[in-house]
Amino acid sequence: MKASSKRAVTTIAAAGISIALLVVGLVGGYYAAIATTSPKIVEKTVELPTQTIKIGMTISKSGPFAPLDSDYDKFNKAWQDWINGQNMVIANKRVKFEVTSLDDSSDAAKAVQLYTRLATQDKVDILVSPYSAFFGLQLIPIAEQNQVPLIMAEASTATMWTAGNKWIMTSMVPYWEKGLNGWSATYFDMLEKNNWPKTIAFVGWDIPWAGDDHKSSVALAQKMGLQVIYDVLLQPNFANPDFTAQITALKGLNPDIVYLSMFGPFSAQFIKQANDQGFRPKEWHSIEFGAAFLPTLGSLANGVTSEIFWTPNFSFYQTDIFKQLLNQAGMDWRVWQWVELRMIIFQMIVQAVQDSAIRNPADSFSKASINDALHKLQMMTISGPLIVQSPGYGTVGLVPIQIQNGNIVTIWPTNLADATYVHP
Amino acid sequence: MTSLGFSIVFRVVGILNLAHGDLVMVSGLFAYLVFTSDLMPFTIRLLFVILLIPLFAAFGLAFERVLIRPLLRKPPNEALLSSVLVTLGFSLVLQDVWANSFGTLQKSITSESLGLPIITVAGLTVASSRLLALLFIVIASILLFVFVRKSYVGKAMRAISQDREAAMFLGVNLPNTSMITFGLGTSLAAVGGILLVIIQSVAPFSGLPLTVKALAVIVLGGTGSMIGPLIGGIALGSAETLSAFFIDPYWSPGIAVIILVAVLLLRPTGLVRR
Repeated sequence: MKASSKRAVTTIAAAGISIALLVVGLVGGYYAAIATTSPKIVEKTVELPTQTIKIGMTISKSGPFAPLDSDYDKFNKAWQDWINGQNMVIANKRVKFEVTSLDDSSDAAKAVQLYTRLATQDKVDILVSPYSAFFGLQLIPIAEQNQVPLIMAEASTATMWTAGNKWIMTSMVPYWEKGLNGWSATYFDMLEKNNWPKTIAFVGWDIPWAGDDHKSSVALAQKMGLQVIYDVLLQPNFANPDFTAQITALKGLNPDIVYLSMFGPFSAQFIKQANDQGFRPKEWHSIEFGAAFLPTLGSLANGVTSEIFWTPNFSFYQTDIFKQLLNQAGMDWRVWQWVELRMIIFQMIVQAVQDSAIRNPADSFSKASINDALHKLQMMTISGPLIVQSPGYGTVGLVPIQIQNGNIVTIWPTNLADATYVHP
Repeated sequence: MTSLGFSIVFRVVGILNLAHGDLVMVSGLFAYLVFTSDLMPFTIRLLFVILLIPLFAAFGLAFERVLIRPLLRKPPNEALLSSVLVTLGFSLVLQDVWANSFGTLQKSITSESLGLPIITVAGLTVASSRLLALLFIVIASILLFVFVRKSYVGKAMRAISQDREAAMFLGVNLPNTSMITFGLGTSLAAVGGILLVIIQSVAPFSGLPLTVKALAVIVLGGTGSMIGPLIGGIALGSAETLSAFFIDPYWSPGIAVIILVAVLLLRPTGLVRR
């Protein structure tokens, strides 16, 4: 009895010790795994030299682009506070990010002056373009001459990527390609699947971005068999444009869809003036809506379709953080339509700095090394996978949305849609 | 309306009020705020909007008295130059105050929200908001015409615009007439703003381009008469729209400029002579 009892105790003790060792091993292994898979973020405070990555940009606090990006400085601040709170350590240095936002007043000449200052006097490490390709094109020489990487935010056009420029890149797809990655490729895909429209009319502004979208979408419409019955590009007019001539022509043609490729506030003006003149096509499509769209149109906005790079239904990388930053900045994604591109750019910058440290340990934080890493990015963003192609453009595309009862809902593709596309 | 207000101030007071377009925008903003307020019934809101016109006139009187009158003591050329600087500065202040107080977004009221129907006559659809604007313009022009022709102040305004020194010798009270003219011009800006927010939209930074357009209109129409800016506005707007419809919308702004240059070459005083 005694011997068997002793054996039993020994067995229980051995089992207990084994379980304890197993638990210790599992817990230790878990923390070791965290430590090895996330070496860049260090929780405890360690005295390390600080490396500041300076990011410079302008935004339009006034002028015609102000309704589209004037509040981006709030998002910049929210992101800067958040990222610096992560105590990021790269290449044995505590890395801080400093975002400088200057006001270009929607003036390209002023933007050129300010970017020159950012590159030469403030000596920023990375430049981020302001709104619109028209501005972006004029900033390329500054990036190339001063050898500072320039990430094009809401600014991309075909000619940017054909001139052998080495210091520029963007997250966006080359949306000017006719019949391929057009801005509205998924929208036309959706139309093809729903197969309701027969005719379409195009009215656009002859500026780089809108002109690119316009031309690629005409090609996409023709490719899917839609009859293009009106196609006109207008000179941009920022001072209360009058669209009476185009609306009169469209009334005579009565297309199923009117596709507007111009800045959102002016698309809203077009729709408002058309309504006042008794013209209501079956569907309005505007390549941009932006902050003024819904307040300008009210119930007239219902049914309008558009595109966007991100909606809250996306569940890729750092979506929750993006939502949190928007809340902190007091910004609504439905109002600040392109703010997701800013988040993607910040994700690109962080990833590029990390990649640069791995690829080029001796010179991790140089502009050349970061530029090289930016051009080789293969990463996940809030809007899905991004692979920067050799000319410098990316792979992030858009999804169609529709305004339904004053709300913006995702209608395509089906795996991301949170509402059904409403059409005649 | 915008060009008319801009023009009478230029002709009578002798200054270029570069803040005129911004006053149009601010009037449109106030009309927007009143129209979109849910606190009052529609008729009360409409009365408040109409009340903006005399309020702006009063503001114009004060503006002239405080900021413009000291400039008028200078020689005419210096006064003109100084007025450009002062009114441009005021324009920038208005823009920034608006942008910081009410945001940079465009403000607009749809015809539907005002219960304005779309009118179709014999297959021709006309926006009732535009008809309303036309009605306002006709009424305001007639009232202005009668005021300028029949009233003592109106006659004084005409006298000053024709020959400032002779008018002074004849006993015209130049400072008071200038002040009333400024008030009148500002009230016309208020009318323009109310109509603009219904037909198109108003935004904090759209005032200056509107002033520039008003300048083009009065150059085209001629500064010699009260009817000039009206004719100039109709001519420029029609040229843009018709060329966009019949030729090519792309060339519409260019064609408008060609017409402007052609008129200036053939009739340097504008379409309507004194």
